[in-house]
Amino acid sequence: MTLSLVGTVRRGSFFHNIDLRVERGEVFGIVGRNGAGKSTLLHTIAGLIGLSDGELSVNGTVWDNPSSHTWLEPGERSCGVVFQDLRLFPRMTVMQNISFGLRSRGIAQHEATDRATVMMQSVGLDVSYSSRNVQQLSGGERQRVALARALVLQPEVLLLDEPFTGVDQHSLGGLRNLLKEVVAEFSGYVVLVSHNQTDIETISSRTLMIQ
Amino acid sequence: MQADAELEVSIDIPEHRKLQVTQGTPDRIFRYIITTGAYFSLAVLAMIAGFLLYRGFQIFSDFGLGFITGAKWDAGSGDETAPAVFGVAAMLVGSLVIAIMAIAIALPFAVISALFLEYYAPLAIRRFLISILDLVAAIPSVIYGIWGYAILMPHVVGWSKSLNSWFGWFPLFDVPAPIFDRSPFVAGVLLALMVLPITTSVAREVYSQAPRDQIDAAYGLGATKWGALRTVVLPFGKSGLIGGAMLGLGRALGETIAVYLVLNLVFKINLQVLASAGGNVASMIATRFGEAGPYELRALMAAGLVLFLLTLVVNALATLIVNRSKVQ
Amino acid sequence: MRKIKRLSWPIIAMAGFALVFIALPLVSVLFRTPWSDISDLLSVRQIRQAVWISLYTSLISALLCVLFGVPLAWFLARSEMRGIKLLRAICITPMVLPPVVGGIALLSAFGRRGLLGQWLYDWWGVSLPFTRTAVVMAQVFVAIPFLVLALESSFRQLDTGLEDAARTLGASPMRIFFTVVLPSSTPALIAGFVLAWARSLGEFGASITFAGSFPGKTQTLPMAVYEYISIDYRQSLVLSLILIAISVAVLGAMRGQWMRTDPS
Repeated sequence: MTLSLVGTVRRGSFFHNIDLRVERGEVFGIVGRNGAGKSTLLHTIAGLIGLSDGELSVNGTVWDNPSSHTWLEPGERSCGVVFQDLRLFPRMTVMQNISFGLRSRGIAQHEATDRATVMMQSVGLDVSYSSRNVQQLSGGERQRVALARALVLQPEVLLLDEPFTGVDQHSLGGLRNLLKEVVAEFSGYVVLVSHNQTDIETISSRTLMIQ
Repeated sequence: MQADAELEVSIDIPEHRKLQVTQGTPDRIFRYIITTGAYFSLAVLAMIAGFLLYRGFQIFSDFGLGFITGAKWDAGSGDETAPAVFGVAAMLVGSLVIAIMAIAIALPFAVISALFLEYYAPLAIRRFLISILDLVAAIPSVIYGIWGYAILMPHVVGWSKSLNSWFGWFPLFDVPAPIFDRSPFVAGVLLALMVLPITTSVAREVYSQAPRDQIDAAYGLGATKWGALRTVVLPFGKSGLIGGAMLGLGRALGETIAVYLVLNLVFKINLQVLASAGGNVASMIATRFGEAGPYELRALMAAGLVLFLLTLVVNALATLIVNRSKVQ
Repeated sequence: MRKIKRLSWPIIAMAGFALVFIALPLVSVLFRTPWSDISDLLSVRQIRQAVWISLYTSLISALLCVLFGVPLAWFLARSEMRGIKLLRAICITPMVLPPVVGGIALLSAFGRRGLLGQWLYDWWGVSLPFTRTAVVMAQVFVAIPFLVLALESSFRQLDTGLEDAARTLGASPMRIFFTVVLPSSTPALIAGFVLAWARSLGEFGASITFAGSFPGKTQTLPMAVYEYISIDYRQSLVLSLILIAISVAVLGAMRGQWMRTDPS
């Protein structure tokens, strides 16, 4: 049971050669300076960028392989993403943001609301927040919404891009503990990238430095 | 710390790449609707020139270049004794004379208003004036027309008389008879007011992009505010401003009802801008349209095509100039 | 922006003069209108009909502009097709095309003897020119580029990252468009709608050539103004005032309500 990404990604005129293997249940951390291609890597797994050659497979299922024309849409991949800039939908409430994925997959409103509510509690968001607009939240709270939005779909792969940016000092500790917990309970694959080595080391089971 | 995974990475350029999408049925329909809608709109537009060309073709083959160079427009009596003669030269010249006059009058005002809005007006006033500008741009031209006819014209006639008595020796300001109303000059002044809002908007946008550091540098060198604007902002905005002026020109060329109301339609090439005779293609089409027979209708469509092409050329020039100013 | 406080009075004076110039037509129509005639004029059946036709056709036109313009704008903003620049240029052409040319082009296409028109007439007995449908067609034709341009630039400025995020959550393109893209572009959509509506309301050149000025049938307010000029220009001033009042009321209301929303 592995996540394996071997191949080349083309971004403009630059080519990234990637050889990455992650075991199931592992929390894989990648540390590197800004612009080293960490986000590109996560976007390739999520299906926002295609491989120009090589193969991406998870649990033996091929997600992307240009030579065999295999391609799974981002929505078809069991993959939750917490983006570096979060990308919360600015005109929606907390509840609408978290249940967006469930609703997109055709789950009925009441069930989606129930599952989103449970998820809110497990990431430490008070249920009274559900009708707030996401723009009224603090950095730490927004981060929790993004995490909940990714986790509520119960993905096989969880991708975290700089999960501690934009979070103020005093909520940082709580968020770090939460992530530790979430990641420990998570049965699939976690890939975590950051430019900050301490962030990575406290959470990851295995760490890779890239230049 | 080193793991058995290996990762080689070069420089990352943030960029969103589009991927080919495979879709379900509703999405295919959605995309289908979007694409069809787009092509439908485009097809309608593309057909215009085609239709005008098709319908006007007989006129072009009957009159040849004479349709452009001839000034006479006469539907004739339909028989041998008085054959129909169609030429748009007088109207074409009239269109250009009026539009150029309008821009020449409007441009200085537009520049000054734009500088004021961008560099002098306090924020609250600025916001208010910009919304006024948007509002005015949406005023129907028939209102300008009636205003020009009822209120502006009597004043302009007075200005015309003074111009004529002082500068009558200059051929353009001479008149064959002392009748000054419904002249190209009146139309030019009215159109100047009509294109002022759009020209001001464009100029303001151009000036707002002037390099701030250069303006500050000019201040640093002890320039006055006006000095800084003159040495930095005005030269910077020159080509953008020309583009804006061309846009206004395109608009002035096509004006119909306002010109119809304040200009005496005479099929004669008239460069004496104070004299009560002239016309432009658009208002001529609207005027003749009502009582035109089938043959004259074709001639009007051919005239429409000529105007269409003229507008396209002016607009293409404007786009070219504006784009070039952006590249700098 | 305005760090510098030194003012130059001649410029301000001239700018004031220019701005007065811009607002002059509005203000002077207000002052010169024979107010007492308004009720008399509004009791004329033809005028009431013209007001009604104007409101009715321009509203339908603006809605049609949204219906056709939104997909077109989306297509122009997101398509990576070759030649998209050319398509965009073709789309803005009607903005600079003299409306009267648009009107005769429509007539040459859909007229009784027009290329498509004769076909429509022979097969279905449909004749479009000089009907209320023709008024709407002419208005849509003239107004749609304004909406398309306003929306397209708004779509372009949208963060495609949000769309990507929605895709990873499994949303279909249609769902993304309606729940993520369109709500973020609401201010632009409303601005475009208002612009298209104002444009339709004041449209004259294209509708008079394609639809004609038949009182009670196709005569809109601008056409009524045009007709009244030869009868009594003072009354056409009153009509102008009604037209201004309608435009300003709707534009002002929309502005206050929506346009200040920051499209962030």
